Amino acid sequence: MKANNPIISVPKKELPPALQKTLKQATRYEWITIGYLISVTTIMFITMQSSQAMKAAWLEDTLSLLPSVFFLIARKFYDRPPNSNFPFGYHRVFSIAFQLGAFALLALGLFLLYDSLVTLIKEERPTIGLVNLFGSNIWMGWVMIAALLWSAIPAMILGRKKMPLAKALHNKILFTDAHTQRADWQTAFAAIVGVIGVGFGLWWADAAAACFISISIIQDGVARLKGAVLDLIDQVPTDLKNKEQHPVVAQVHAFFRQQPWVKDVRIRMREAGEIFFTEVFVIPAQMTDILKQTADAVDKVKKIDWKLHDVAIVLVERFDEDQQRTGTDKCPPHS
Amino acid sequence: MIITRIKLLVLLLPLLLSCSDFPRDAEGTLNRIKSHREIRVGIIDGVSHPQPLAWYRREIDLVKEFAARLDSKTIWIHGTQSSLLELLNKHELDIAIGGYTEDSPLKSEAAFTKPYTEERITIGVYANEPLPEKIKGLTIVVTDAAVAAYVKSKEALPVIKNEISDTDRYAAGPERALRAMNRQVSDITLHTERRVIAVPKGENALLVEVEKFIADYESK
Repeated sequence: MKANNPIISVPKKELPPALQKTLKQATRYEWITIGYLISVTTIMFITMQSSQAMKAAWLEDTLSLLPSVFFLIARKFYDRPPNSNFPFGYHRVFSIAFQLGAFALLALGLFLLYDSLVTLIKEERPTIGLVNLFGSNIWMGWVMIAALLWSAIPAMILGRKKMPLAKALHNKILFTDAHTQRADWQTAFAAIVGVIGVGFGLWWADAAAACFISISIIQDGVARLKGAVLDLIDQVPTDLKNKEQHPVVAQVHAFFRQQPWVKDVRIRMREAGEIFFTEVFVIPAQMTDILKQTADAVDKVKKIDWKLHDVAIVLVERFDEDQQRTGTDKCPPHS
Repeated sequence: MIITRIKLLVLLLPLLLSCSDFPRDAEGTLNRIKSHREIRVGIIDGVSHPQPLAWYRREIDLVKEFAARLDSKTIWIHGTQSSLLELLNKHELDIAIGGYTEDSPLKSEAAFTKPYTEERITIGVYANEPLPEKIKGLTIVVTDAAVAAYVKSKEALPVIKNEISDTDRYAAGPERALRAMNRQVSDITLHTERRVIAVPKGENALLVEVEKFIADYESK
């Protein structure tokens, strides 16, 4: 270690013990999810044949492997401490991966919409015949419906199990993953309706269902892309849905205002993964024992929330009016 | 919430299963056949061979039996493999036959049934000869160019003749034909011909009906 290293990195991230257990649980669920999704994509690929809706559902399911994979890779990086080369740590890698995944989803949705519309315009009719299963001949449509149910029901259950874990860990990747899986029933349901429609002779039902599914994929992709971009441009910490300012922002500000040695205070916060970086700009009321006061304050404020991992106090003479702009209409409202 | 949705779906399905009229045709082809009691069959023009090939005759027999099962008379319409598929999709034809195979490049143009027969193209030798392990370098007599190509791909030397005679030591062709010549057939598969029947795309009731018929026909 160089003696005159000018750089100081942020503290290594550590989850409180209760949450470490939650993280282990979440990891287990994500491994189960990956195994399950591999089975789903295989089965769907074998059964999809000429159904446009099933093709859409299959592609969506294949891409949904990404958040689970990202989460597990991120876990490896959790153990890597920040260093002189990367003093802020490695979390941004996930934000980028998340953004690429969101982009892939959006691109996929757009392609599928185009493909489905073309199928509809060209009046392509899905052909679904018999299949020999365990010795008897049944209509392939039933097999497709069974595959779609398999792609939806366990996903919904897994999503429900992961949601509370994601909220406790304040983990956006896990949250997005859980949220999408819970909504998986919509895609499968649309595809099932499409297959049944074809069974009733409505050849367009399949392509129409595929259009519906692609639109929902596009919506999902846009929402995720927006979230990823906001994260990358250091938006003030928000709730998991990126809708409202996280309450901890106001809490930290209130804490410092109450300190007797503080005349006035402004803060600046951003997220890096689940960790919030805080810079506290204080106009001190008095300078006696200021080092001890600030050190104590940092220790105490961190107890408000485990996510307050890095708090830096900056003593200033005054606040610049210019720096107190309230931002654009896109600023999340105070909760 | 989830349980209610699952229950709903599970309740719906038996309802549909009880509908004997499921799946249905997009253009009601099967119903039309049944109500008019006639089935329009597309067939490729007579093949340029001294006599119609065995598979050609078999396909015609198959269709005749299918029509009989539906209590319909057949109307034969001639054309080429591609023109017949065009007519199918324009709903000017109900089914089409003429050597369509499962791996045909035309398979995206129509709905092919499951194969009604599988024909193994293999090597045939004299009844008392040992079967060759490999055919590389051997001279093998064939009666058509496609089989010649399969033979060449295994690095053997094909010779095309009008028919396979008893003096030809090694011959290649459909397993059935080789056995009919009292030859022993090898385990080596040069190619598997899976023959299918074509129906219009989207006519799933007709497709299912034909496939059910094929399944029964095969088991006979």
